[in-house]
Amino acid sequence: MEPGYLALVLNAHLPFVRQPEYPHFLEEKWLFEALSETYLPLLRLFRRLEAEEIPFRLTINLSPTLCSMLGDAVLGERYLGYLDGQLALARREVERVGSDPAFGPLARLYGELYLSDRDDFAVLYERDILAAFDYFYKKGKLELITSAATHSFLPIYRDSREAVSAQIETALVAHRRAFGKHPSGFWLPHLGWYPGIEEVLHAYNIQYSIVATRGGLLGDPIPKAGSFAPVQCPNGLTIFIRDAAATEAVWSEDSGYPGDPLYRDFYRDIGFDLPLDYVGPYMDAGSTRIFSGFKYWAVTGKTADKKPYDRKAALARADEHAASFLADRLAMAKDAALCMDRPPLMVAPYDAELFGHWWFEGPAWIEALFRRAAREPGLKLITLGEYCRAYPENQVSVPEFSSWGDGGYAEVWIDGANDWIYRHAFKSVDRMIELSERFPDESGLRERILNQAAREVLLAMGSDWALLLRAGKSASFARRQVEDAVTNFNKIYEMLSSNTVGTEWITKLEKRNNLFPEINYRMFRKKR
Amino acid sequence: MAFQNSGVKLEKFESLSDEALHALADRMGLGIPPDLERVFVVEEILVALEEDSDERRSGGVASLRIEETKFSSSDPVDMDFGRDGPPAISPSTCDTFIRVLVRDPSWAFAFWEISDTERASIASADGRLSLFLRVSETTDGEKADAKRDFFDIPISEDDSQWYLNLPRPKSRYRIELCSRIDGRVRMLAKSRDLAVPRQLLDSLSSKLETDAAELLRLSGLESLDIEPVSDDNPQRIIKAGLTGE
Repeated sequence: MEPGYLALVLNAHLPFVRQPEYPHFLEEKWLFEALSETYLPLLRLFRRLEAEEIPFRLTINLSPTLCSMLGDAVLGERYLGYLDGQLALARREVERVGSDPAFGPLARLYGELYLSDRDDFAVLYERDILAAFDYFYKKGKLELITSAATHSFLPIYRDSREAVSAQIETALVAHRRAFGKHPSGFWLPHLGWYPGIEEVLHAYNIQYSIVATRGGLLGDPIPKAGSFAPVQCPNGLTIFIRDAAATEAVWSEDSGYPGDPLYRDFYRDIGFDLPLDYVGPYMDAGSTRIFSGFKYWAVTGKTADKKPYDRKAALARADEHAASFLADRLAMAKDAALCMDRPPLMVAPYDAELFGHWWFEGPAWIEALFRRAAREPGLKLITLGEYCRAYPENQVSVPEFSSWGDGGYAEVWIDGANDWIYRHAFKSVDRMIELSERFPDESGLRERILNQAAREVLLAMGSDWALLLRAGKSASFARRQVEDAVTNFNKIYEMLSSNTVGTEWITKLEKRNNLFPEINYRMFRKKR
Repeated sequence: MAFQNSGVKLEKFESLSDEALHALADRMGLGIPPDLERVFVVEEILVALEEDSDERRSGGVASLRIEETKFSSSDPVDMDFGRDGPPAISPSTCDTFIRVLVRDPSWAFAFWEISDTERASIASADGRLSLFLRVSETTDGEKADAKRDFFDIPISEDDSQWYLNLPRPKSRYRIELCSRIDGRVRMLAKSRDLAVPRQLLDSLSSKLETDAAELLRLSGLESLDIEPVSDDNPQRIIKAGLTGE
């Protein structure tokens, strides 16, 4: 019998930030940075492991909005432009610091990173990143799952079954379109769970989901295996519980691995350190200073006097941290196994963008983890779907309302800075339900209009806008996203109510907010 | 209310109008006198933001900050000053309704609208409205007219939202938007029943088998702060753990 299982789960998600009407748009860089520092490096490490026949298992949520953007031709073209800019800056940096023994190698490292990204994206994958993930999905190395259509924090919409269903149904259609399969698992945005959502998930043939430790342990009844085995709702939906210790080892900003003094410091960046007339031409941000991605300093400690980043030492530390992580999990598994009649499972879910973008050495840590797990006896890596098949029977329990956000419930998404959203979002939802009842069987232009209305409602429900508003980051952008979605919806509602159609306007809007091409507005019809 | 604000620049506040500054202070619950000099209003806001930031740092909000880092290209500080301007989306006043969202075991967020027609029908002779929220504890399957414990929260006719303190976790509540006319209470709208989540494990957990108790301990029970406590203060605020829970 295995001493225990470890399930690594990554949530890859970005909100829909496509803005084709502008030649450059600051928030689109969220996607370009994640591609350059997270998604493409992850795919490279998968390829290396496969080439060396090293087994690995990973469950990944590729969110519907992210999939929409990764499959978008306009953003693909812009990403190449971004990479060309980064490569130009890398060349300039090599000229500036190339002879410096500490910084020269780093400038060249960034040049190599962006060159690899360009080669992979343009040549190897022919701009089709989703196909690259799908390759490992089909081979059983990755298990791809999906999440709410626009990453809506679903507990807020618990009173509107139609709204929750629309988020889930749209996501499933988008996943099937991208990967040709129905996903087994569903990532609840921010692990936002409420009692009752199991009925909706089960109705869509979802087999499993994940909840925060708090929600799992506060379940009814208390799960007797703690977080070391999933529970099952009365309808059979399997619920995995986040492992608190595995989370803290990586996630904690203070004591987690990414805060190690040897790792690259995220915040010190030439976008803020060098004169604007030097970095500005590469930023496409006017007079605003933004992160450039070129960072030369190590975390060092809680001091402004940073030491130069030593890549070799940092990679060695990532390997040490991988060893430590596995040893700690194995020790925990051995302790837990004494109290269980099956091997304990530890589920470690993280935001994917943490690895590489924020924690530069994160992909190296994941790779080291897989390499060590393959050669050392101990924990077996497993996807959540594989675990479900191996252990189909689990204790019956329903988790409590919870999330992985600050405070453990909905404090992040219902806050003085963002609570104004919900008045408008709910009004749009209610009106969308009304429209789908009034026009249940439309076709042609009217169906297109109703489908666009449904897209706008889903966009207004996205949780990222509330998160940004609370954080005070890109808050005016976030506010505008909600306002635009609601205003667009209201305009459509008025058009349909007055039986006037602005064909040119709706066509333009369809081209701009072009996500979920197979959306069906009827999913908002009342559930009977 | 909490703001993430490290490094908020003074200039950003100085560019705001007096009205916008006071509105921001109101939203932060600072209770600043309307005639306070502008420079002191700004100072009060900055102090409150700094205190809030410290609290958030020490309160273990690493998870939130980490989630935010994926949005890092942008201006690190961009608070939503636009909120103080006219709302870009005018709320409709066609319907009368109340909707309530559960935030955590102690708080819920209520928002409502009263249609113009309704307002006209409940106004007193001098045109004023006497409004309040009635918070009633309910039980599963209860008949609508069953007698229940309740308390009232007076609201002004300009209010359209409220954060409600709910007395007991693991309970159910219904919120009614009511008016009082000539001593008579009239319900204008009611929410659906709210299920308030548990804050702590039931005392039952102390009777768990040894193995189950050990597995709960290994799962991080202590760091989550969800074990039953001996004091009987149900409003205890959960400490946010470093894990974001």
